[in-house]
Amino acid sequence: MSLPRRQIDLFLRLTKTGIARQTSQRLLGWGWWLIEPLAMISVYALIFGGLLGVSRVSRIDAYPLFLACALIPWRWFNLAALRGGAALTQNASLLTSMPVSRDAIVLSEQAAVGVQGLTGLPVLAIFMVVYDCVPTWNLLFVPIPIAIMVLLAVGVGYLMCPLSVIIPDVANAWSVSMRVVWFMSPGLYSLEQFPERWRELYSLLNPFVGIFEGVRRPVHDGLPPLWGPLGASFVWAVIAFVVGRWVFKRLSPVCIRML
Amino acid sequence: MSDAKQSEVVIECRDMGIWFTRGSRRTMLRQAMRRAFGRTVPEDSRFWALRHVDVDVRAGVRLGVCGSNGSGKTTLMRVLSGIYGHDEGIIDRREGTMSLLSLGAGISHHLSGRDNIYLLGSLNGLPRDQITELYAEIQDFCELDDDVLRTPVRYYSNGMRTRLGFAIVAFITPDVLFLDEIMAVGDTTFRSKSAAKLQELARRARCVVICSHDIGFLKRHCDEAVWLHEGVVRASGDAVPVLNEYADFAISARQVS
Repeated sequence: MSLPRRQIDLFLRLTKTGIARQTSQRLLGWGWWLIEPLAMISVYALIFGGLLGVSRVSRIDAYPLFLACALIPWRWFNLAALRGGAALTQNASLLTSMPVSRDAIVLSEQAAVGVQGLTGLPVLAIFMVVYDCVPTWNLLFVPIPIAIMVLLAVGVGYLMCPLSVIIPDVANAWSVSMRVVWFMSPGLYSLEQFPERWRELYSLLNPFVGIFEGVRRPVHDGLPPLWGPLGASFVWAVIAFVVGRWVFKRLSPVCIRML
Repeated sequence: MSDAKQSEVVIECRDMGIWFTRGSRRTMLRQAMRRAFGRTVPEDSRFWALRHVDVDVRAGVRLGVCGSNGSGKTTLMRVLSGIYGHDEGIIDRREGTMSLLSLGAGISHHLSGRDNIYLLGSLNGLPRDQITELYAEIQDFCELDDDVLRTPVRYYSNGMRTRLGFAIVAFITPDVLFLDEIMAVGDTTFRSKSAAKLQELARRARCVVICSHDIGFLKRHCDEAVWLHEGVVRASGDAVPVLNEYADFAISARQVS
């Protein structure tokens, strides 16, 4: 068997293992992948949309759908970065007992999360039906921000992977900083609520502006994505991938000896 | 010169050394960063697990690696098979597929026995079709029925897990096979079956490196041997004299202690 075919075969098997790790011990298995985002959207919609009145103040229609457009890619990114980042420690016994490709290990974790992330997309469809959103051709743009988000997550996963072996506190620091980034990104509120003079800079510096708006505008508003912020997100994703891959390549041989 | 010594060298290892950092977590972090970015790590922070190691793995030769605990046997296997990089010297690998087999390595407790057969096959470079062809033979060998193989491995007894792990690795044919403390396993019946399978496996592979504390096993199965002591090669050459020398050393060390 040729090397690429062997690598693909191995990658698919490891992906299956990654999926099994998430589903095999649960009675509802894959069902949790739908229940979890639905529950999170409901809680956020109730608190921010209902109690705090964010949707009323900002005049946002179909607030749960508005939230879902950000929360679903956000959850995907967060899981991918976390699980990708833990790939070396999770597979320590395998990596120290078999000459197996470290890239295959990291990417298969990302792919397993990708399958889980894709199950969030039907949740978007459910909310579109519930809120009578008429699909437009602009929906065809949705894979673009999703692909950018995946590239960003892979890059961050690569970066976190060796760092979390060398510095165990990385996982804690990550979860704290991710909470901050979530509230600093237009997930619960709209981009229009941000002061206009800072909006452009904000869109350039925060990669999630382009990603959230890239999903939200086609799904919630029936409009094409904002190409400027989406371009900035793409640049951030490329930087994250290049830096993450470089750090992974430099540090992972050292990390293997520390597992 | 014996035939073994004339045969083609598959892995050549010259003056090889590998070191690890030791100390507090903070020291290890600092040294890991220095090392990763090409800066020199102070000699007093280094722990040389292996140094000045010269080993040739030859086609058609079964090489035994012996030595007391902490002598560097497993590290040597990991370096030769490419799991660890080395820090000094040269390692020249001239073969394609290498498998380091240690029992239970790679088995996922979340997957069923059946899926683990496919996973371990893939990890060892077997294509899916070939695993499917071998499946019935593997199942027959590990003596686990369909219902058991559909069950997640975390519900298996230790004996069942060992049999499954051994059965999968026993059907792989790499060019270079590294056996890290894999001997005959299981109950009396399975033990003789696994011993026979191990011999067949060693015959099928182009060359075999066996790491073990069992001197008798190494004498029976190896043509050449390397005795490692505190990270350096204490003796190497034809198996029987090297293993006898190590056995004498081990006995005298035990008497002294």
